[in-house]
Amino acid sequence: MTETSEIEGMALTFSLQGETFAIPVTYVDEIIDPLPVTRAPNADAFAPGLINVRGAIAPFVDLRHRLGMKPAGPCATSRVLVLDLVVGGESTKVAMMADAVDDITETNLSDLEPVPELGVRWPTEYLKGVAKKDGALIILLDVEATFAPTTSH
Amino acid sequence: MRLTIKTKLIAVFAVLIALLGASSFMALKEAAELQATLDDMVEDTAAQLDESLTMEAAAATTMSIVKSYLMEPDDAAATALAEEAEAEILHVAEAIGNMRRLNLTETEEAALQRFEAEWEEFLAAEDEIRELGLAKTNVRALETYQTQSEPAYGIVYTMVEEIVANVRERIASATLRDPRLATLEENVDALTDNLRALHSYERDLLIDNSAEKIEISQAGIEAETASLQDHLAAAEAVATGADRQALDSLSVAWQEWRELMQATTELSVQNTNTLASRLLKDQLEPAFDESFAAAAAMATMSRDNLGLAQDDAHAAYATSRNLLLTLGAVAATIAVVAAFWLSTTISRGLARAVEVACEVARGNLDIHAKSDKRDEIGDLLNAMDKMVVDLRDMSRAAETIAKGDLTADVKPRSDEDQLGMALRDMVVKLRDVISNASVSATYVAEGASDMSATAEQLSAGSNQQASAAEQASASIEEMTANIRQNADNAAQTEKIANQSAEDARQSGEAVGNAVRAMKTIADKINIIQEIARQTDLLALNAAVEAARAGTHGKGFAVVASEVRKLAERSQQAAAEISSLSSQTVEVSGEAGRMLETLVPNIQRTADLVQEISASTREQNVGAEQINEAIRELDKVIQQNAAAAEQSAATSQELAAQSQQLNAVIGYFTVADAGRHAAAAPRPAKAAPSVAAKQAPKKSASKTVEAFDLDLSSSDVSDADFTRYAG
Repeated sequence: MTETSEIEGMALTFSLQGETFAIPVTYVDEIIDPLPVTRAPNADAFAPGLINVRGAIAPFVDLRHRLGMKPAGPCATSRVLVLDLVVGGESTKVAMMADAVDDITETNLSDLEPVPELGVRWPTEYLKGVAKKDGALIILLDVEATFAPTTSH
Repeated sequence: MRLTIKTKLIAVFAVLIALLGASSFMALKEAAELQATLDDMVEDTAAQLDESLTMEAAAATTMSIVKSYLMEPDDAAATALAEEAEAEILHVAEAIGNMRRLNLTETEEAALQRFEAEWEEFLAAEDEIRELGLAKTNVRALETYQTQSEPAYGIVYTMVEEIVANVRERIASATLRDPRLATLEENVDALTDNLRALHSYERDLLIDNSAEKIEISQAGIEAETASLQDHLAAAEAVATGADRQALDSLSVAWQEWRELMQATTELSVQNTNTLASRLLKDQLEPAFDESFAAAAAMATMSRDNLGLAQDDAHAAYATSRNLLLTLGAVAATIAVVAAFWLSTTISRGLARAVEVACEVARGNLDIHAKSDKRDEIGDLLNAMDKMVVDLRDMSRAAETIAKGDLTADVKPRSDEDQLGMALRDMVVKLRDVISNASVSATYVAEGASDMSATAEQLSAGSNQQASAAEQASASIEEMTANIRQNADNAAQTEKIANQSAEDARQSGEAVGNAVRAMKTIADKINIIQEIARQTDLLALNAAVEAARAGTHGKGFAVVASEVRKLAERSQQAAAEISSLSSQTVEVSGEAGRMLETLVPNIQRTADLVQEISASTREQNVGAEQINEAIRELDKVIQQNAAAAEQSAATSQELAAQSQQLNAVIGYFTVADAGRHAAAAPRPAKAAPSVAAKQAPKKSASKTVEAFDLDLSSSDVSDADFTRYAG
């Protein structure tokens, strides 16, 4: 199990509206350049369109909407993260846009600190905790909760 | 007494005009009388004749119309004819009215009144006749008889015949004689006779219109009617039964016929046609004859008057013709005599005047033209004589002047004497001119000697001028050499400037090439940047893979992270190169722009230098021309010196000539006072002329010594010079 914990300890950090977020690397399938998004009619604001990743169709999730951030277009450093999720016991690919992808970093779950209920800008149910790295804060997302098709709200 | 031609002419013309006036007056008077007679003839007598004829014709027409309507059986036609007659009568009345308006003599008036009286009678008779004529009772009586009375008589007569036959049959058949029947037969038989007699009388009345016959017939009718009534009454008294009835109806028929017969009889008794015819014959025709005769008499009278007027006109014409012929003959005689007399007098006097004038025109002034005639010709000849005498005086004065004696005075004869005034003015002017000419000749002699001195001075000045001109020529040559050097330098400078401009243009092109190269480098750097980014992405994906591989991927993770670092570094370096190349492009662009502005400036400098070179060359040519001009000036100055010497000789000659002139003028005798007056202002005039001659001499010598050639004048243009070969 040490392997598993080690793997779980590796996380991909990316930035979104100036904040650094982290996703466990096990969920990450691929990092690609931004692609054109096909808007699906009458779609949910959380998953407004579809994207073609090497011939496979994947839903495009707008993480900014879920985290309550303002919508923004792609920039020079923008990348699309293709995630491998298990939804309803089936492996599914989901795409999301990040302002920049930073690094693969090692996170120790024991270093995680719980997110305080008050004074945080984001809904706490999507966050696993906050870790410190080189003086900066990294927010570790709860992938299952964040990319769940329906929310408890 | 003085009897001038004018008086003679006036007298003759007055007599002729008086005769002409008299004859014209006579002719006018006669013509006026003739016109009055003609007017009278045309207006009165002819009109009178016209009206008389109208009356005559109208009266005749009226008469014939009256006869026509008396003859006319038809009433309407007769009435129409009567109206025509009325119209003709109106014509006659109109003619009488017209006649009254004319001027009538007493006899004519009487004739007209006679006609009027007769015509009144005629009209009265015509009125009566018309009434009777239009009634036409005889015609109506015949008509009534034929249409009504005759049939009624037929009925009555048949009835009576029947009764008689009936009664006689019964008498014959009766065996026994009935006295009653006999009486009846007798009475009816008588009644038949009565009827026949009445019918006979009635017809007589229609046929015979004489008064006695009418009376007889009327009496017969009355007697027969009474007898018939008696017989009818007697018959009725004895008649019975059927006879009585027959008699009653007979009585009725009889009454009917009787009335008709009475009407016929009455009409016949009136007998108008006969009366009218008788009136026509007894009254109307005599009245007509009388009035017609009166009208004819009037016409005859008018014709006689016309004849008389014609005779008057003929007589007047004859009288005036004789008078005018006599007057004309007298006037013609007077005119011929007067014309002959006057023309002889005038032509003789004028011939003499022409002779005198011809002699004067030939220049012969020794002719005498005096005349003792007392008319205008005599005046003319005397005036010509006076003119000849005056001309003789004038010619004498002219002879004196010709001899050179200008002291004589000529007096003009009047203000209009142009010849006299001209002679007088000529003498005065000649006197003036001669004295002035003499003074002037003296001045000329003096002036000539002055002039020869001046000419010598002039020749000295000319020599000085020549040396100064040579100096100027040397200076100009030196200047020309300098100018040529300048021109060469300017040409070299021009070449260098052109080379610089070309170099600058090439530098500008090189900079442009450098800029393009830099831009290409920037494009290439972008490719490198893109490659670095892709490499970074690949390295990131590799890192992810490595991380997912766990412990087995640790080494690969390190490699991936190193590759990422390299990619980042190359990205950074590429960005630096990019910024540097963009800076270089900017700086090179600036250098290019500066060079671009530099090129035209250099070009302009080259152009200016070229212009300087051109103008310097022209200056060179100009300087040579100046040099040439100064050489020519030198020649001219030497010629001037020669001319000055010649003029000195000439002025000496002039002095000698003026002496001779003085001697010639001495021919004229002029009063001494005039000569002194003209000679007096001599020294005063001579003084300023000498001063004026001295002053220019000094100033001329000064100018020659300090010769100053001014070449800085800016308004001398190159175009003013001419280029010569060499």
